[in-house]
Amino acid sequence: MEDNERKWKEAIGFVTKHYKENRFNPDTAWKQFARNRTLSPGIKKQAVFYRVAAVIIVLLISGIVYFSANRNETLLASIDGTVYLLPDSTRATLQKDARLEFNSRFGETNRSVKMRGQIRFDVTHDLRKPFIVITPTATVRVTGTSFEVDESGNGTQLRVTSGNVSFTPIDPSLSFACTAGMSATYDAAAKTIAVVSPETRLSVDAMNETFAFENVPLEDVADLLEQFFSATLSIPEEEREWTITTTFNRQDLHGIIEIINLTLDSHIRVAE
Amino acid sequence: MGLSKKEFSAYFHAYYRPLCLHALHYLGNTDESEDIVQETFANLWSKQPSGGIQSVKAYLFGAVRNNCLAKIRDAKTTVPLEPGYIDDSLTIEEEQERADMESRIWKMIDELPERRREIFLLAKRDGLRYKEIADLTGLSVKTVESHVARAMQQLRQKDRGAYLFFFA
Repeated sequence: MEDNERKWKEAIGFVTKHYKENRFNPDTAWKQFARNRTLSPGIKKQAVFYRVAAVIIVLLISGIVYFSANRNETLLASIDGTVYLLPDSTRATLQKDARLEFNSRFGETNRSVKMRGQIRFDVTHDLRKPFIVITPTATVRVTGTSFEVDESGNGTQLRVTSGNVSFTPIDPSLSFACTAGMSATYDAAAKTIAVVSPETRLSVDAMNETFAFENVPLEDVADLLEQFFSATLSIPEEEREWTITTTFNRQDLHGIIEIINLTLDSHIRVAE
Repeated sequence: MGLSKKEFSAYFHAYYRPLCLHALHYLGNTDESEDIVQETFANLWSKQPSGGIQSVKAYLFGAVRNNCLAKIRDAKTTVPLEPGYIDDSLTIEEEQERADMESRIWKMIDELPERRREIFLLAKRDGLRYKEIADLTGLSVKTVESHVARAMQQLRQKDRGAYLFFFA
């Protein structure tokens, strides 16, 4: 009996000396045990191994499926006039050393291709999915037409055979609508753009802030100026097809508009 | 045949606190004691000794003891131990019995009303005089004395009850 009393006193002395609240709590420790060991309690090591292995296999298969579904197809031409038929039936004619790249899901959600060199496209018409050609220096966007893109490394040249093609150089990022017979040439180093049709010629020298127009309709002039100066212009409907031939060098938008209005007696206005 | 999840969880909940107190006698540090016990359970779970374990409780107490001694051996120059923690005269069964009793006391202190526990610990753990506790808490010395006495009584009665329940 005395022995028990002694033990009890020793025990209570020891416990009170070390007691800390919320310590040695099995419930809290159980949670910590699972968290610290990254081991859900009760999951045996072997089971963990199989689960990890299963996850790896699933990831591997998913990866293979994903990458095979998203792999890029690359077409290279070793001779001039190499013809490829793309999944949407668009016909691409590659000149020697031209390179055409597209995703294996081409046609499902978009029709986007990357290219180098010189390629002619006869694009299958699809209003819902524009056909987009991306070169290192420009983007060409169409819905259905025939055109040729010549990517030289220093720039991109577009020649349109039929239909409407939007041509957007990388810098300055100005979009030009080109129709049959028109060509657009972009020199990336000089940052110059020239858009030429059988009757007109429009060129932009972004570095020198020069615009040259030869017989260019006012609506095309206004479209270019709006993009370049991030402004909105209004032109009376009857004046839209009036044409102008002139060059502007380092002039601000208001100056250019004033000159055009004085020259043609037009009524273009800059919207505030 | 290894331990099932249910069995392992039951052993963890039953022996965690006694094992911590068992380890505390060797290490004198609550954090290190919990670490050792968690490691011991982790080893039990991951290794699941071949041929099974006849007495899981005996295995755990032995393993915790060995792990504590290994820790002391590895860090004996940096971990000073207060004399008297390790009583070599006790058998492993006596150590288990002691840990069980201490575990019950620890749990009973957990369950004391908050105010009473606070005063009890100020007196018994921190060694404050009743007058000091009274000044600290704003209570009268009589009230402090009463709280400590009642806490001791509660612990003694409850542990006696448990002792009689288990060993009578």
